[in-house]
Amino acid sequence: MVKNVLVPMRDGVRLAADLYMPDHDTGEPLPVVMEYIPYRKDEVVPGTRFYYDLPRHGYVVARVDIRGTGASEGVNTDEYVLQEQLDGYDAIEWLAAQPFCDGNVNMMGISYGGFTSLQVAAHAPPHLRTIIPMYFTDDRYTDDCHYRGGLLRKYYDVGHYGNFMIAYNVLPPYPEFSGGDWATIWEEHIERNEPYLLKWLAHQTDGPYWRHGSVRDIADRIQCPVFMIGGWRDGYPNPPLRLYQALEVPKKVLVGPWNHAVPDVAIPGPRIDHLHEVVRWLDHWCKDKNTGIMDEPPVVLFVQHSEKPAVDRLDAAGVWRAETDWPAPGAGERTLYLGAGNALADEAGAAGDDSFEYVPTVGVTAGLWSGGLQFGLPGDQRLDEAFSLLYTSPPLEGDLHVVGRPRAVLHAASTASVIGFAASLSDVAPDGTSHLVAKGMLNATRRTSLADPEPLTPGEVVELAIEIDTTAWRFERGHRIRLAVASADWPNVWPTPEPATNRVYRGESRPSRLVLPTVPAQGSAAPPAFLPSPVAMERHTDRPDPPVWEVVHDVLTGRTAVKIEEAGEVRINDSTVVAREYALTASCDPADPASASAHGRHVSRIRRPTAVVEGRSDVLVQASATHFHVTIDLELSVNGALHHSRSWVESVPRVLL
Amino acid sequence: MKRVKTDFPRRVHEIEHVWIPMSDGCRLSARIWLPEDAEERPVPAVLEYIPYRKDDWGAMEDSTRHPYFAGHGYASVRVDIRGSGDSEGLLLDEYLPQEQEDAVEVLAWLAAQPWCTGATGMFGISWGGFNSLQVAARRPPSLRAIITLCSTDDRYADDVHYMGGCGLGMYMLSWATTMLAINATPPSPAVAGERWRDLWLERLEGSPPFVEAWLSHQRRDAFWKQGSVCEDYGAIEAAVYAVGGWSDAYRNTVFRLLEGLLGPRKGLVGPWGHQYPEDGVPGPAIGFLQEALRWWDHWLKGIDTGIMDEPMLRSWMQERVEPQPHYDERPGRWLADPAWPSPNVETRAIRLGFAGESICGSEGAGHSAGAWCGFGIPGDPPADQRVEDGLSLSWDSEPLEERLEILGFPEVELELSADRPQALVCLRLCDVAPGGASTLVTRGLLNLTHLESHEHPAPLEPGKRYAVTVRLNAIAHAFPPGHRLRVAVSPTYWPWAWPSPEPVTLTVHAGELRLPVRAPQPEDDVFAPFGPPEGAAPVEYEAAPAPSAGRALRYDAASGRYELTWAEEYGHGAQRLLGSGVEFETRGTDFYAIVEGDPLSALTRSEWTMTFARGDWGVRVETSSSLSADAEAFRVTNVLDAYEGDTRVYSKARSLSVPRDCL
Repeated sequence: MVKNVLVPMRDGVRLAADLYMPDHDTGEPLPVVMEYIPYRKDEVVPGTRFYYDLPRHGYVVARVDIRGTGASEGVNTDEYVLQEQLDGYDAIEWLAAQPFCDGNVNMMGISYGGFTSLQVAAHAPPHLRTIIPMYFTDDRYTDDCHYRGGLLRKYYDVGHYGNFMIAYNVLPPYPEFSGGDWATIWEEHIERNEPYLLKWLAHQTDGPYWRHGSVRDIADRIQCPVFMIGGWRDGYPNPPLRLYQALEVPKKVLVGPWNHAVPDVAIPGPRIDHLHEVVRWLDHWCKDKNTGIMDEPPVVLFVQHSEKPAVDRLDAAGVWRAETDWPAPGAGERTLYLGAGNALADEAGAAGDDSFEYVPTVGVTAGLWSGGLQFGLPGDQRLDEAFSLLYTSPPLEGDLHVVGRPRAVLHAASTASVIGFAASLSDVAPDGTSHLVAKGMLNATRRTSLADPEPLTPGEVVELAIEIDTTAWRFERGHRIRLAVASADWPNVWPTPEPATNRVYRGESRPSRLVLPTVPAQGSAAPPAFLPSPVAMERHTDRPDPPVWEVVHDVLTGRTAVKIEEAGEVRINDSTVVAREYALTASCDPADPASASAHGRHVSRIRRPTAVVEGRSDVLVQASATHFHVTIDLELSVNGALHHSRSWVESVPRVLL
Repeated sequence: MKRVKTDFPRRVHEIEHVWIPMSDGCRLSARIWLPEDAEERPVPAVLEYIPYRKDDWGAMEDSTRHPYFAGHGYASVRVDIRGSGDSEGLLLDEYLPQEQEDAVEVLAWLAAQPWCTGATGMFGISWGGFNSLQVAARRPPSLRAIITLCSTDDRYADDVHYMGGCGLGMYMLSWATTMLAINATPPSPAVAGERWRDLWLERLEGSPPFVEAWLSHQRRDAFWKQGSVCEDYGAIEAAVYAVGGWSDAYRNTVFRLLEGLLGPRKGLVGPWGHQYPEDGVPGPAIGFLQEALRWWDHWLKGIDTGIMDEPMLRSWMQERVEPQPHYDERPGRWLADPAWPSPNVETRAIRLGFAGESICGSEGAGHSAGAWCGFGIPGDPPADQRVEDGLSLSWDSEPLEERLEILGFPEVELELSADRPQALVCLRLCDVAPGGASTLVTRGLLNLTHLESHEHPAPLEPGKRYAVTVRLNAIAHAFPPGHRLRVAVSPTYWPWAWPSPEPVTLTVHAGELRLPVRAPQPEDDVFAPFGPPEGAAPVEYEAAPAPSAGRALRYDAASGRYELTWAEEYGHGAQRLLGSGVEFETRGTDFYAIVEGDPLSALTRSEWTMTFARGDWGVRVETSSSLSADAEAFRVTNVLDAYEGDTRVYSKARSLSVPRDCL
């Protein structure tokens, strides 16, 4: 490995990169795979397969810290800014010109690294050969950790990514790698880096801020072959198949049952050795080897089967399915209408309506939005269904294969002027247990436009087209299909402020319905056989120090709190241990949804014989009917003595959410 | 607001302590309030006979009632049961024959006193209500009448140990631990003198944790029949006034007694919890002591108070309320019924639309149950039932076209099958408002292995269809028009019901709900409501602020573990009696945990601390108990520590494993 190579940008700022090279250097130039993220390259967990496996197969991995983060020079004030994309372009071209590179540079990464792969590719750097984005978005407003259907997600921002980046971004570079400049770089990061999340909260509607970096709009600018990987229990289930349809380059898409972790360590399994597939892809495009990968079906999906909805499980029931194209040959739709007596039927019945009360704490069984937490699968839905409006089909007479993006069309009215609608699709087993298949949400004020919301007129019936997340699910004969309608998905989505009673209308004139994308029982191609993951996994509850994910209901006050805590410690080299803690408490009083709050805390502690450096960020969001009151406290200490502290206090008006 | 009465027809004299000798040499300590001139104008005696330390723990309660009766011409007597408070001996279990035999002797001693006319009565709530019935069944010659409040006539069916043949996960252990602590407290040195420490050590060594015996009798055997007056109602000849509350655990008893007893009897059921009706919460509280006096005057003094001309049963018809953690009052009205069963009540059968649906039990179905026995404390009432309804197999009626009032025992008959040989069923009847809120009306449990008999249970044949009838707890409830009836079926009800050893799926093939429908009667309005609550002035005391009570349900979503904590249940802080200078404090916390899908993970833990002090004398008792089970056996552990000052003088931990007996 070559530590801390400095990569010059066009404006003179230098990004720091680590190069992972093959052990036995023959001097022959090799293709490069670049990972381009802000998560401090010097704290990579030793043994991470990506960094060691690809060099063994004749690739150089370049791990580059984004400008203003880690050991790179410059300033970092937000995610996915234009400067970052241009830097990525410059880094690719610089790498391609190095003697160790044969001129082929690829980009690959999960999450942030998947985002940057696509965004940089849209600038079409001449030496970018292919990209392999994993668990990514192509639409920063509709499909990321910040907003969902025009509602605020936030909890993940407060309790995890949006919070920890505040602390990460003031931690020092490592002097032994960064040399004499380390203190200068550190000082600049401390003085000038900014929390991202205030910017996200300032943009509550769709618009130019979010369109920037949303490659869905500019898919035609991507010129290189793309291999996309996603997961159904990941926070980004929609982009892979959507982008597949938009891209006009050689492409492959693989979606497993996974959460937001690379396919060799994701839950639920089956976990596969995805790096084996990646090497086959790279060998084909960079080394002109006939690996056969481009002869295989381009669309490979894991079709999930019903099973007991256990939260802490390592594997999902189901089978791999392959298609020659997407949409799949033979694909169709099945429409089920909301009917009287809570039925879901093939025909729209007589006119009628059903009402439900907005209970802002519905959602605790939905699982946690998956953007980096290693747990949080959905559980038995019945606890939430108790406070939802349910429509359930009769037992199915034959298997039904649903693959694609379901949607719910609701004709609905509310007593509130601001309200969201959640549509949960679930599989009800004969024993009554209810397994969440997928969910969608829409802020009714954004029913005609995510960019220009308008309040509801209380009592007025509006038509809402709610897109449910993309999925692949086999509904088994004898099982029932259920659509649960509620107005909350807490704590994944911030509750809207007004108490409300909502009404859903049905019948021929107001045909509220569920539209399921169906496919034939068999795929149009035979699925490939994957190598199983070589990594052994254990259930979270079997871990010596399991994460905390609890829901506390105070019987006397009615308040409900969700608490999530995770802590871990990694020895990153002989003399350095990095410990990290993540905690979130989200509170909601069902009688006063306007006052929901969230408190996140992150601590990063770097322990070395010479010093202990600790970064601590606290983010508190306390809502009122009109505002989000945000307090951020950042403290950086060295050997227990405060080195730097800074606070941000802002009140952001709520924009119809 | 309760009126404090200080002005009585006769001036009251209080005898703080007098020994009542038993034939075996043991002496029981009594406190007696009686008119000053009782020697000249003898009076009947009324006895309250309980183990709750008359000199301190029970002093405040006692002082509001006994002087009241005394001021109206009675010797009102409060005796500590053998082994409790200042009395000698040991208290080895609840309601033992020894206790009843002692009471018979106490009554004989009272009747023979020069200040006594020879007529006696007994009264009491809970323990004192139980033994009033049990002693009456022994027909002591002087005993003319009793008032039994919040008690049972069937120790297996309706008490703190079992319900419908299911073990009570809630209360059985908690109550046992409370008694373990109470039984480990010493007599007052003011009465026992220097012997107090010897008597204390004797109690510490000799008082077993009651839960060991209770758990060793999981079926309705001779252990439970002893002390269950329902075994022979005819044995009771004294007049019985049975009182209960809809929020209390023991309301069924009132109805069974009225139906089963042959002698003179009356019944009264208000909206209250486990309290005397003059202190009843939820309210309205009533002037119960005035009512009691009319009863005593009629039966012990032969005065025609008209009480026996009034309807046999008065009960409070409760209006539907929103589910809330507390009710100061339950809106409603008093009913009047001439007898029970009442000619005003007829059964309406409603077919339930079950047709072969299955329900896989969730360990989460039961956490909204509220308290098994309400004490008017916030958190007692059942919460909104929607969570449990969602985890159950539910049937909803069409919206009611008109108001529907029920009084008595609803029944549900199901044709069902279970997939395991050991299973239970919980049935809940709810009132569902148009907005969706689900208010619990009443519920019932049945251990399905007890289908044929609580005495001779038998494993089920998996898959076989059984006809199962479950009688729900008695209730009075008015369903408003537009509301729906909901019947919810579940194979779990933790922490009330100890879970069956394996997860169970029940399949319900058919069902019928039978409602005791009662039409409003003109007589309901004829009888005046009860007078305002009143009582004698309580002894003077100071109390520290109550530690804040906590009732929280914690769900660990990552592991599926539920934890329900009832902290600081006792509801008040340290107290000091100004007269005697005794200080005491009781604190208790109960804890229930279970993991979804793993019934063998069920665990309850209960911890109690009792402290007593006067001057430089001070003792403290701590108990900690836990109950868990594997597939074969229950395991109960009890730890007792006793301190004199800060010095631990006694410590004992004992553990017992008891095989599961179709439970």
